[in-house]
Amino acid sequence: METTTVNIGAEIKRANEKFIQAFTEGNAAGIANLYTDEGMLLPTGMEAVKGKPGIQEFWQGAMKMGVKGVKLETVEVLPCENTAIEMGNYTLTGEGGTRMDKGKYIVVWQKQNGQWKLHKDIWNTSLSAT
Amino acid sequence: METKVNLREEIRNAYNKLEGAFTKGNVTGVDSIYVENAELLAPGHDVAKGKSAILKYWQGIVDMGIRKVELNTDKVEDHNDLAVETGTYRMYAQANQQIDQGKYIVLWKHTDGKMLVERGIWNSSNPESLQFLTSRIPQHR
Repeated sequence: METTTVNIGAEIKRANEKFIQAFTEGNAAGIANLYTDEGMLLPTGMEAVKGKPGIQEFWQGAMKMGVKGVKLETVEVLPCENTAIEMGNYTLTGEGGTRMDKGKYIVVWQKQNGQWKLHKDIWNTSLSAT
Repeated sequence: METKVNLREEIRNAYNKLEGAFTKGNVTGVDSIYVENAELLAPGHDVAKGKSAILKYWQGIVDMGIRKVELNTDKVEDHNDLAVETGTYRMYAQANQQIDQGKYIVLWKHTDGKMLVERGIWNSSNPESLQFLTSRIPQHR
């Protein structure tokens, strides 16, 4: 059980690295491909987004807004069957690496054909509005 | 795996307690729906860890003037001892004035024959909730 948890944690870390790399390359389609076909984004400021085309559009929009990079730091992974729930912290950076936002997230991962995919993705800022 | 009926019922029972606390203006006892080391990942805050921090957070929301909260379960996925719930919420001030609406994910844990909240995270769907972020982006200033 212990070993399994460690492996899943490492696999999810690798999947996150792909996410970060695709973001740095400005590759929104590449990010969308890391989600399941039924994948769901729950972003701040809008209704939930379902499916890859909508997810790609959302991340493309974030890049157009000036988000240049994302950092993801896993805090905890809870594995259960073909699902794993990840809790973590994120940082969004703009031009020149300036910090735009920082907060926390929960991702529900689903293993499909041997690959961990983002199935549900929600986050919020830890910065107060004032 | 798809939703079991009793799972949804248990979630509703827990939410009746939480929603009731806002109507009463007193959150005492609301911690009974959470596991001991539960965490609330609330927008604009650092993580609230443990029952007393969670109670304090909710009392703060009551003190801010929120008088009604509605939680609507959308989907529940059951995975052995954990269940993942997605849903939407609305918050109102007095006289049913809607203050916020958004969406959430709650992780439920089967604990001693009951479902208890292990983690809760949500965010607003109101476009204004993004203003603080866009104001940090040069071309949006």
